[in-house]
Amino acid sequence: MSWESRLEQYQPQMLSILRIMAGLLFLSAGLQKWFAFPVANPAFANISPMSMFGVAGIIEIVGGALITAGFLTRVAAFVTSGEMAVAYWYFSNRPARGFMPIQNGGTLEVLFCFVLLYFVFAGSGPWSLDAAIRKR
Amino acid sequence: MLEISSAVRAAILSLVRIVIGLLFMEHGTSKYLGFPAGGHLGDPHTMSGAGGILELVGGALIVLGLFTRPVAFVLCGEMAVAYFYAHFPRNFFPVLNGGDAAVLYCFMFLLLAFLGGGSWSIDALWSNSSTQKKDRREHGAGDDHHGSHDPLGDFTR
Repeated sequence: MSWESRLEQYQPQMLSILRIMAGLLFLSAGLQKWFAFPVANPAFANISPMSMFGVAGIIEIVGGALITAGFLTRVAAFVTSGEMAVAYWYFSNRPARGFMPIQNGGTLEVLFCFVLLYFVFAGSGPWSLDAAIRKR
Repeated sequence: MLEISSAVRAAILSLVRIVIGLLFMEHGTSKYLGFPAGGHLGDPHTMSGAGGILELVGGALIVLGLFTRPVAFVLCGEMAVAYFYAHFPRNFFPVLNGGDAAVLYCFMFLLLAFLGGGSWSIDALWSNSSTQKKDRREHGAGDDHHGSHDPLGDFTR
């Protein structure tokens, strides 16, 4: 079908768009932990670099920025995907609250984990620093 | 860096598609089938109830990889509507208005609308069998890479 081939033409650009959006969402989660932007979350009031939340926040800020810019995308996506998997299994006593993500409130972590996993394999697409560097 | 073959990429796309479809379908099944026991039963006349039907049916189709492109496009629109009706009025930032998942779903479904379902899907089974029949008629022996075109391949190095 012709509309299918037209869609296929823009696959790389669409991949970059998804990457930027996912990166921004991820980055904002980390910014809320460490920089109280846009608004502070009382759960993270006394965050320290030694706590689980602290390390998670650092990974979210650095990883989120790298993914949004499309620099070292595969590595950043792999690390952040792992962080989300750890967050799902080790935080908030998830297995006790129920096995399904909708019961234990972990939908977002699973979603991020798998979307970022796809970027490990698919790369960053054309609108990224990786692509710009490779062209040189 | 490493070269990922397009076959691996198509398989991983299917894996991601299946997980996202299952996550999405959960909301529909909890509204209409009571499993997993999450909350309110859905009423098809409300906005969230109508969404629940899309979640149930659309989510199931996404998991199976049947009609992935049009279904994903519809679900992307549903998530966009849900975001702007239920989350955006609360606050501009998704991290504050609880709309992280809606945004991520919306863009991921949009990607599925462009990329299709990947190799582990009913769509792929159907298109494989139809191109094989066409090849057998035209060439007599099957030529696997006839017409398979991978635009994403240029960017996976």
